[in-house]
Amino acid sequence: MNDRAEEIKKKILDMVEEYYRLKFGNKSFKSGSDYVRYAGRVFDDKELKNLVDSSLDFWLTSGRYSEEFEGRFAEFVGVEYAMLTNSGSSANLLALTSLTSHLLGDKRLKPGDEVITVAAGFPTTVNPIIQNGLIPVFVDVEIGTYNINIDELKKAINEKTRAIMIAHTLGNPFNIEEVMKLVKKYDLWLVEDCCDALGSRYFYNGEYRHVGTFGDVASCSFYPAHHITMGEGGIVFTNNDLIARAVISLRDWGRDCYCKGGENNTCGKRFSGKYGDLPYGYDHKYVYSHIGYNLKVTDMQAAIGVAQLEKLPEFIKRRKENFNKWMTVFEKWKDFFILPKASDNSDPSWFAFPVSVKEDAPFTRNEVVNYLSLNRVETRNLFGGNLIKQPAYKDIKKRVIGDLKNTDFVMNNTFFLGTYPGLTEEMINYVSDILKNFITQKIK
Amino acid sequence: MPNPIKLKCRIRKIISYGEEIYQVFFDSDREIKFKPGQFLHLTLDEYDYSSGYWPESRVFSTASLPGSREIEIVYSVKGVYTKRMSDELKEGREVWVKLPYGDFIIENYVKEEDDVFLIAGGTGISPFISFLKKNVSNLKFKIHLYYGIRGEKFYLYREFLESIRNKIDLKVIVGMMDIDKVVEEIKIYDRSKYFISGPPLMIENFKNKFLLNGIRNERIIIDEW
Repeated sequence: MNDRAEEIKKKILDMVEEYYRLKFGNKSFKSGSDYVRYAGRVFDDKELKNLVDSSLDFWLTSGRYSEEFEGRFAEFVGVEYAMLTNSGSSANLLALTSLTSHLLGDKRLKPGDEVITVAAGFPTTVNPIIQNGLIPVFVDVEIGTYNINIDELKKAINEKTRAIMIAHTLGNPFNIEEVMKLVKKYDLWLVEDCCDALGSRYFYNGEYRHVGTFGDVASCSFYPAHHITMGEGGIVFTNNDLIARAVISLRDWGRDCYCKGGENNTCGKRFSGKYGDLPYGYDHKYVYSHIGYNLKVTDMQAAIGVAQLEKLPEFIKRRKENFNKWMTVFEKWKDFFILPKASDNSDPSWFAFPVSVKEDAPFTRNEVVNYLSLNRVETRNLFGGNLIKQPAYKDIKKRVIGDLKNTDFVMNNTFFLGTYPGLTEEMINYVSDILKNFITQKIK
Repeated sequence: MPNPIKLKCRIRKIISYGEEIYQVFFDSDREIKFKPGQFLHLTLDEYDYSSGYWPESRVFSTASLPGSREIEIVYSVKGVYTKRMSDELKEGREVWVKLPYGDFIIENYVKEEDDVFLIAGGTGISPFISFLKKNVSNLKFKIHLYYGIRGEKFYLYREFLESIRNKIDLKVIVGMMDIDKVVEEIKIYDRSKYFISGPPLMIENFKNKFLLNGIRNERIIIDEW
């Protein structure tokens, strides 16, 4: 770039900084008129500047920022490979689909194989199982941790079981110790959905490790509600060379070539290979070894992510603090609410603060969340509740273990409040007052 | 981590073995993550990271220890680009590289009970050097290295290989390797993996001979170019 262009770019970025300050800086919370959101993007001028910087490159597709983000993310969680994609749901799709790859030989998942999961969760943890012609096996969860019930998981395993695909619910790690015992005993694949759990850790074999590093492959989401954001975005991460290769191929149209945009002949044998029934030397760029998608991310998304990743340690700290503040608020009302419980040996980076209204409380979940909503306090249900009662899942081929009693309880009684770093003590105190008003009315 | 990265490195040292064979050492300001057997791309041209386009480059197996701040390659002049390398690469110069790439990852193919046969010709020794540097202090498998060189002066990594001679079964063959003799020696092993790295004709000849002698295809892993 010539000097004049550099000079203009610097001016633009300086103005972006000023724009941020004027447009987004120093906002104060006005209780009663401002919303208390359950989640939201938390950013400063760095995100805007990276975004503009990337747009001035006008590279558009995955590029230098994507490469930087992938490297830093891999280092943060402690894995060898991290591969960006356009959403957490795409990350789940790629993670599970990679286990069907021919690269894995006889151990690959094949249509009709069973994959154990839970119904109390987000649909795109389950959808890749169905989309790959595999059979989901639904298991109940525990109340309090909202994670898979290990006794029920044990009951679910049979000769067709080949994998487990479950989320660390709302940032709370599932019982990794017990799940790993079963994974090893039955030689199963484990897919960890970490979309809501970036920064959560689990104590295993004498050390704390990030979730997503225990199973074969894991996913994470960067939708604005999540721990860090790039607008839309997600990532697949693994220590397995073959899974990484399959993920890249599936993400990039199914091609065998692993050149990034702007690269040619990365494999060094672009015109000297023999693939399938193609003639010798057919351009490797157009050799397809998987039935793939195009699920790549743009470099502008990654540019935002690079700035967000810098803030992640502080974000995690703030989420933990907000969780503890909510705990103090709800301790006062524990006769009416079941409070959340961190899994044993875990150090959760909470996505949210889940609570369940007790069956004998003088109000229902819907009543309390409606009251909060009327007072501009956002809540969310635990995603799909009981997924198998959702219209889309009524006729799918599936196996269900037991009566999913707790899953139904979650569907009817559970909701969550946010823990995101934009949530302030002032907001939590406001919600505390609103709750007090509501409960006082109900127990009169 | 083996997520590929692009980085600028400074050439610390170049050793010439004569007849256009060179060993090049690069220093980086960060630890270089790769797995033994993987390769890098080296370009002689400037890379503008904001343009997105990677310039013309060539691939070389990394011979250094994974995780260090040093990268090491060996190359011989075989065409226009490697001729440019011999003309333009000087100690102190900075060049762009990107790495790691490739599936010739020896540790992914071997189990503890395996006999591991490494068959190298000339500069094809590079990926095995990296593997040996990483594993020689704690070998979990029996290593047999057959290393074919044109002449004594082309014995690359002589000092290192001689220093580990008591830990591995090392055979340095000067002149044309007698494939039949090598095959005769090694085919008796039941649980073996065979890794071949070197000139394409050498790889092809060894592979064909192995197959003819009943060694299964999945046990033969080649650093194919």
